[in-house]
Amino acid sequence: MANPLKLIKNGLIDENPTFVQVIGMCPTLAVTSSAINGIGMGLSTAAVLICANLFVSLLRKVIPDKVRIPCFIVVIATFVTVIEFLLKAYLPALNASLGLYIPLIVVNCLILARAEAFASKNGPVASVFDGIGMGLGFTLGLGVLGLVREFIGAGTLFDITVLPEAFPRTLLFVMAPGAFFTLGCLMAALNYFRNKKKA
Amino acid sequence: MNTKEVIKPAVVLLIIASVAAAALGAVQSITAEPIKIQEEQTRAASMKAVMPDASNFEEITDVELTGSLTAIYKADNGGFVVTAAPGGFGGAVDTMVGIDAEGVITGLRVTKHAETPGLGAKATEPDFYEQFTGKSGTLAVTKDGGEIVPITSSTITSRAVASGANEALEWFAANGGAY
Repeated sequence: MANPLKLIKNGLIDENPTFVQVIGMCPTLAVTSSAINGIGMGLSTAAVLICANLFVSLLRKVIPDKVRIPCFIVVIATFVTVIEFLLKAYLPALNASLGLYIPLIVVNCLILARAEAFASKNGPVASVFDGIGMGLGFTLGLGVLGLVREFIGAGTLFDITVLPEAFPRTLLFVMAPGAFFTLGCLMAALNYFRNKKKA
Repeated sequence: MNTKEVIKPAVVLLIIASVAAAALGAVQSITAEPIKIQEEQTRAASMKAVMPDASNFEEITDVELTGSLTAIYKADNGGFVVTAAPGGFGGAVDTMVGIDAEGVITGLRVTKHAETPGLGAKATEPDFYEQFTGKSGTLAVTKDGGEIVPITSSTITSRAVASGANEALEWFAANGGAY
């Protein structure tokens, strides 16, 4: 079994879902208008990812190759729906802030990608750690995007005003185009440092 | 083609889907009651928020709901709480309006919406919804010559909320006396 710390570092940095693998872009671009939104979406995705990875890994020897994708989708959709029910019933406050994003998790290809690329080929413990690593990596990516967009677009960080009122806000950054600008610039910066390190 | 190769995957998929369906059914039946209670509590809390002077609300069932109106409640102080679901930027914007016996808005809240986070979603903030309190007649956003200051860059959402409030006021003007 691979080293758990290595799996977590792999998800967080080496194969970061947002900046390196560039998957799950729809929620990444859509919900990161503020840091809280980005982190909330990241953590709910991480919870589903860990559960889905565990179950796919446990079932990997039972699932025939030909129908693996429909099986994975059933497992993922079931978890998302169960989490939605439980949040609605027992944690209404959390549901009020995350409820909008939960149905979006079903269509996040990050979860299907990890089921296909990792959990269906590795044991349950390694798959859980892969889920934790990838989930945290996704949260990190969305959190950073949200922070930058919220700071430039609204002048706040975690809803606390940090820029003086007189400083102009670039509202474009909390709208859809701002998501592309921010993601592009962050990826360019990361690639620059990575290439420099290599050289 | 080997029949076993076709049947086995189909059976496994059927079993997995059935187990998932059974699990979902179980969770749904367990959580249905708590979810209903939560929803009722949320609704009772927002009714109290839009009409602080009343303590009991009763739904009027024998009423024709026109336009985007979704429900009408009679309050024990002679006013009404009207819910409407006007179309916003990202779907219906569920709006709850309290109207007192004189036809003045006692409060307004956006209870459910799918507007853009950071923009239209600001309709749930007091800076926006408190503008409606104490208003009557026909409301419009400043761009349309009214006095409701719209949320920056979210005129569509702001117009939707104003139209929900107008529908509620119109219903009251036409039918309020009958109940």
